[in-house]
Parts: sequence; C-alpha cells; structure tokens
Amino acid sequence: MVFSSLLFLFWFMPLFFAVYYITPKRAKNAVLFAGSIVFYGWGEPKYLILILVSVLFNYLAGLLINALYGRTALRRAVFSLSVAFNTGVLFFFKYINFFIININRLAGTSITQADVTLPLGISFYTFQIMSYIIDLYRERVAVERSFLRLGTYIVMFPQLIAGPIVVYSEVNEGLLGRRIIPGDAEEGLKLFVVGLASKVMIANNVGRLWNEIGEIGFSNISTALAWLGAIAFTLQIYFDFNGYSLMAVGLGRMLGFCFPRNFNYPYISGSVTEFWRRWHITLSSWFRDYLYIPLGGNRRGRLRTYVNLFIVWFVTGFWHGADWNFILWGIYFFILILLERIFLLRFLEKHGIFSHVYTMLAVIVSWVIFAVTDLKELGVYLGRMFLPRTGSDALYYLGNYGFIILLGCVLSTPAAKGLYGRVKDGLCGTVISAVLFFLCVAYLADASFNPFLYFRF
Amino acid sequence: MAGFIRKYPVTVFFAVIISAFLIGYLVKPDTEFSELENRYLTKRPSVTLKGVSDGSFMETFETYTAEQLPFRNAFIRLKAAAERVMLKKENNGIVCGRDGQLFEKLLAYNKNLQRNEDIIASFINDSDRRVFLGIIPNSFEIQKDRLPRGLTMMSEKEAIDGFYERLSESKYCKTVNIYDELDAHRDERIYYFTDHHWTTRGAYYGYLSLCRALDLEPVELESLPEDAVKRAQGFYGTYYAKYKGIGISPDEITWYDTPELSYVNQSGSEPVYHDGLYDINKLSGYDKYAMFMYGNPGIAVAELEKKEHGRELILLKDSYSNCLIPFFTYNYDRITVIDLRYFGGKLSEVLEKSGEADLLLLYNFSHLNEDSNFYKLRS
Repeated sequence: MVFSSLLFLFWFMPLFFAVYYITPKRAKNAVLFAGSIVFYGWGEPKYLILILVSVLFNYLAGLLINALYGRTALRRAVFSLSVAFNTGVLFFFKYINFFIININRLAGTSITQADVTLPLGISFYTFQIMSYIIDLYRERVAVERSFLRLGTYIVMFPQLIAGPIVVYSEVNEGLLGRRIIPGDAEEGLKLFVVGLASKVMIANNVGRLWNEIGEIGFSNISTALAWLGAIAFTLQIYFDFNGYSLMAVGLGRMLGFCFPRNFNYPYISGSVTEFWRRWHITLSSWFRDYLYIPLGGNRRGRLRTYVNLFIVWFVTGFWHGADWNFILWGIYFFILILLERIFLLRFLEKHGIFSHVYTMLAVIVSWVIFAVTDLKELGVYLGRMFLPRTGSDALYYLGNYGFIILLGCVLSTPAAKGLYGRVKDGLCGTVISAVLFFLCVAYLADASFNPFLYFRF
Repeated sequence: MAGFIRKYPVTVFFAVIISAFLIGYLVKPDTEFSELENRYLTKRPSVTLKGVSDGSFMETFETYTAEQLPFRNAFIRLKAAAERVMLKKENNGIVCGRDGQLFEKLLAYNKNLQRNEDIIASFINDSDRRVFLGIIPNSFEIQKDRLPRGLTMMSEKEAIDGFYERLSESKYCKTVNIYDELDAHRDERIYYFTDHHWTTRGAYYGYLSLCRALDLEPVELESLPEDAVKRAQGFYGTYYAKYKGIGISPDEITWYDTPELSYVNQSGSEPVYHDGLYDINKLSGYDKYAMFMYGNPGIAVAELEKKEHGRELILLKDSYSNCLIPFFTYNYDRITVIDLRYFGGKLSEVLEKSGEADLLLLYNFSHLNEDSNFYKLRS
C-alpha cells in the first residue's frame, strides 16, 4: 500500500487510527505491528515472511550479542554473521541479477537469472535493522528483549517503504512508552497533508512531463525540451521523495513518534557538499555513522580519506538501484565532492550567485544520470542537453507545465514555508489543509499517473 | 467539545471527513455504469481465500476504491478544473485544440503496430483473391493546424505510407489512399470535436476515396431527396469522456437514409433482425455514435431488398466504418460486415462462401496501432 492512494486515505487511515487511539497504551505496539503487517502485506504478501524472518534473526542475534558480553571473539563472530546475513539478503534480492547479467556479459557464460523481484522497502528496513545490531555491538543501545517492540520498530508503516531511515536509537524510548497528545496529531496531520499534496499535486504533475519525453524518444527532442524535462524530473524526485518523507514524519507524529527530518531545502544549496547535507539526510547520516566513520573517516590521512569517500559514494550510488547508471551517479558525486574538498569550496564561498547556479546545474545533470538507466540512452539525452538542437516542441510543454514548474521552483525554497508557517495554526491553515486534501482526492480519483519511484531502492 | 474543535480543527476535520467517506463506501450501493466516463465501474469484490492469496482481491479492491469513490464525478470535474487553472491544455491524454476541438495525444507507436502489420501483410500475401486495404488517419494527423502550438505527435502518414510501400510488391493487394481526400477537406468538420471517430461527412470523403479504388460510382449526396439527411444534437463522445473539462460544445450527428434493406446480426446463435442500419434509441443515451450499425456486431449482413448492382462486399472493419457503410448500400447488393474484436467464427468460411465479393479491410490507424485481435484473420 502507498500513502498516496484512496485506499490508504479512506480505508486504512480511519480504521487503523480509530483502533490505535482507543487501544490502551500497553497494547498500542501490538496494534501498530498488526496494522503495519496489513499495510505491507496488502501489496506484497509473499515478502511478509522475509521481513518477519529478518526481524526474528536480528532479534535473536541481538540477544546473543548481549549474552556474549565479555567473550569478545564469539561476540564479534555473531555480530559479523548478522551483518553478513542482512547485507546478504539485500544483495540477493536486489543485486543478484545485476551481477549475473554482468558476469554473463563479461565471461560469456549463460547463468540463468534468479526469479526474484525486489521486496518493497528492503533497502530501507535492512538499514534500520543494521543500525540496531551495529549500535548494540558498539554498546550504544541496550538490547531489545521484546520481539514485538523490535518487530514494531522494523515494520512500522510510516517509514517502512520509502524512509526516512529511522535508526533504532532514535525511537527506542518511544517504543517503550510514548505520550500521544492531540496537539501532535494535529501537527502530524498538517504535515501529512502537505506531503500528500507535494506528491500528488506537484510530483505526479511534473513527472508526467518526464514520462512524455520518454514516449517521444530522447533522440527526437530539442535542447530546450531536454532541459525542461531534466528540470521536471529534478522537481518530481524532490517533491515525491520529500512528500513521502513528510507524510511519514506526519504519520509518525500521529502515532506518538518523533521521526527525523529527511530534507532541508536541498535546492537552495551553494555547493554539492551542502546539497548532500540537505538531501535525504537520514541516508547520508546512516552512511556517515555506519560506513564512513568505521572506515576511519578523515582521521587516517588524506589518501585514506579519499579512498573512504570513494567507497561511501560508490555504495550510495549502488544503494539507489542495481544498475550502472546509479554507480555512475555515485561516482559523479564523489568527483564533485572531492573537487570541492580540494579547492572548489573556498572559491564557491566567495561567489554567491555562481555557487547556486553551479550547484543546480550539477544537481540537474545528476538527476538525468539517475533517471536514465540505459547508458546509451543517457548519452543521447546528455547530447541533447549540451549539443544545441532547435525545435518548437518545448513551446507546448512549457505552456502545459510552465505554471506547475514555476510553482515547484518557488516551493523548493523556504519562502513558501515562511508564509504557510505564519497562517497554519489559524482558520486559514485549516482551510488550506482541507482544500489541499480535497484536491489530492480529486487527482487520485482521476489518476492515470501515480508512480512509485522507489521500487528500485 | 467546541473548545476541542477550536483547538484542533484539522484533526476534527479529518476525523469527520475520512470516517464519512468510509461510511459512504460501506452504505452507498455500487454504481454500475458511469455516464460521465462512458464505462462500467468495478464493484466491491468479495473476500475469497484464493483472491487474497494471489493478490487479485487486493488489486480489485483498490480499483473498486477508486471507481466507487463517493462524489466521484464531482472530484473528476474538480480535477479537470484544476488542470485548467494550472493552464494545462490537456487532461488524461486528450488535448484541447482550436475552438475546443479535442484530440488524442499519440506520441509513439504501440508495440502492437508492427505485429498487426505483419499479420495483415501475411494475410494478404496468402490470399488467393484481391484485397483492398484502407487505413484511416486520426483527426490530429489531418488537422495538425488545429493542435496547440509546438505539440508534435507521431506521424501517422509516415507510418501508413511505410506500410503501404511494404505491400506494394504484393500482387493481390490494392492499398487505398484515404489521407489525401481527407486532407483536401481538412477545414471542414470531418471529425467530431468530442469523439475519436470521423463524422459522417468525413466518412463520405473516405467513401469517395474507396469508390475510386474499388471502381464504384459514388452516390452524390445532392442527388438524394432533401429529407434523406437526419440530424441529432448534443453528442459528447469518447474524447470528452476522458477530458471532462469545461467549455466544450457538443457535436451534431448526421445520417442519411439508405435504400430498403434488411440488416441481420449473425454473431449469436440466433440471428437478430434489425429495421435498417440505424439504432435510433441510442440517440437518447450517452454514446450516440453507437446508433450506427447497432454498434459493433462480430458479423452482420446488410442486404438490399432490390438487388440492382450485382456486386457484393465483405468488409473487415472497426467502428470508424459504421457511419460509412450506409453509403456503400448505394453500390452493393449485399454487405457482410466483420468486426474481428467480437467475431467468433471462421473467417475462411465466410470468404469461401462469397468468392466473388470485393474484400476490403478498413481500419483507423489507432485501431491498427493498438488492437490485439488481428490474429483472427488466420481463422
């Protein structure tokens, strides 16, 4: 199930929250667990078993790691095994066919591909589980003795399928006992509606432009349309992803949890380094805390730092999808961030306007690399962007999508938030929420286009 | 309570609205047919063990939730209006052009096109008789100048020419250029503004092109008595059903009297006899175009009372032909009409029975591009 569906809004939400709110405190985790199982199992019943096995395995591994306190070697072995298990499951379901295809291509073998589809949200929940195991091993969190609590943490529906990646230490207290106050539900709902509108009204709308360019064929478009399309995708992925995150944070608040913020106006950044401090914050923090710093971070000399950065960006790219373009996308960021680290940042800091133009150009190009999986097609598209080709095709699409693109650009800056922040608590805020909600329902009622972008994650 | 509402207005609003909709779903009887969208809607599925385990229940339930939404039509109109406010010139793949004329947005070939062309080519090559083939372009192709500026769609002309070129080697094939005649009259109302079909006038120009190829003497409309032409107003077609925007005027439907004839639908186990080619009852419903030929029977035969032409026609067609066939009643004594989508018989038998008949395949390009029933040509 996804949030941006009538099924979620008019069936799941009223039924689930009615039960959740009237349930006494000590049974709330059980209700949340059961509700999340329905939520997840609705579209992916066969992968319910996988996620539950994952929870059980890590639950037992956690108990064992805790019990083996003092027996360093054995404890380390159990820990390594569970890390291997988690990454192994992720590897199998997400990457096995990528490797088979490429081995076949390179070695001329003909290994049959595995018959697997990517389980929904596996990249997100695997990272969440690993945060528990790693922090437990490093003695930063206490062991979770309740299967239900650990299970609830993993399958909790708000952030299950598209993030944010909530690490265990951020919610373990909330799992033990949380206060649910009406003011939280109120704020949570407002966030949810803003997220829903981001996804349904803006992302789906501009996303259609990107899709149509695919239909026309990259080789048939003009340079102007190529840029318009790249900008459209840039807005689509932000409003889609940020929309999901806002909905998740909002729903989390309605449940009594406080989830971390995932986006902080990434498109106002003055450098690519800053962009990644504002984009998908929970993922970058995860890689920082559980990969970059354990590798030694920047404390082992310059060369080692660069190697570590390369590893982190390679893995970041690969995490987004099992294809070469995602690897390329990660390496692209590695190069930019390395250049900025070596000299560019100092220059950018002194040139305000240039730094924003440079950052947005770099980001827009990165989204093209991200969006076009086929490397040959990617070449064609980049060619259309940078080798001038005239044509009047952009005219129609600018007329059709100009308004929504402009709206998206404005809403990517904190300006609108300031305005909304001023009115959101009054009658005006309620009216805005209601109008946005009805508009979203209208778009969902007549939707021929409502994509889910994270099926590759 | 009042204090709670004042303090938490959004919570109260949501609690009320989403519960009301849930109750709406539970108590509102399912709507069978949507007049606005001109299609049947999905009803609430019942829970079965099999349905839940293979996921089909969940899938149907989601469609049901979308299609049986309380106040669905109001929401659909709200969305169409919102698209207008955002200055969009299209909705659900239908583009609004000059004077509110609606067009289909077709940017690329469907993968069925190549396959359909292959099947037709091999049907013609294997045939032991002459086969006439006509492909009718869509309104967006002929009336390009009425599209919004800058919108370039796929070229149907290129595709049709390419297909014809490929068949030019075949000795039994005679391809019919319908494009030129329509193009010469592109400033007339040859296509409906709100529907994907050509108008009766457009069909007449198509008929003229076909007559030249089939070596027939076309009936002149001026030669018919003045009251031979009939009209009905208020037709909103399939394009409108998807577009649903404001400010679109309805179309007029016209039709011409035919000579006295019998019209029999032979698709079912029992033949169904009709009084003429026009189903006047359909004019009071939404889909008024269905009045022509009583819709799309799999196989039907129109036969003149007074045989005077000595010629017979077998026509394989889609719904575009429905408003053209009446003109052929001035040239053929007997017309067998086959719509492969709903045809369950053996085509070879039909062809064998009428060995001397002209054989014409007449299809709209969109149909050729999308349909998946051409394999029945091999039956």
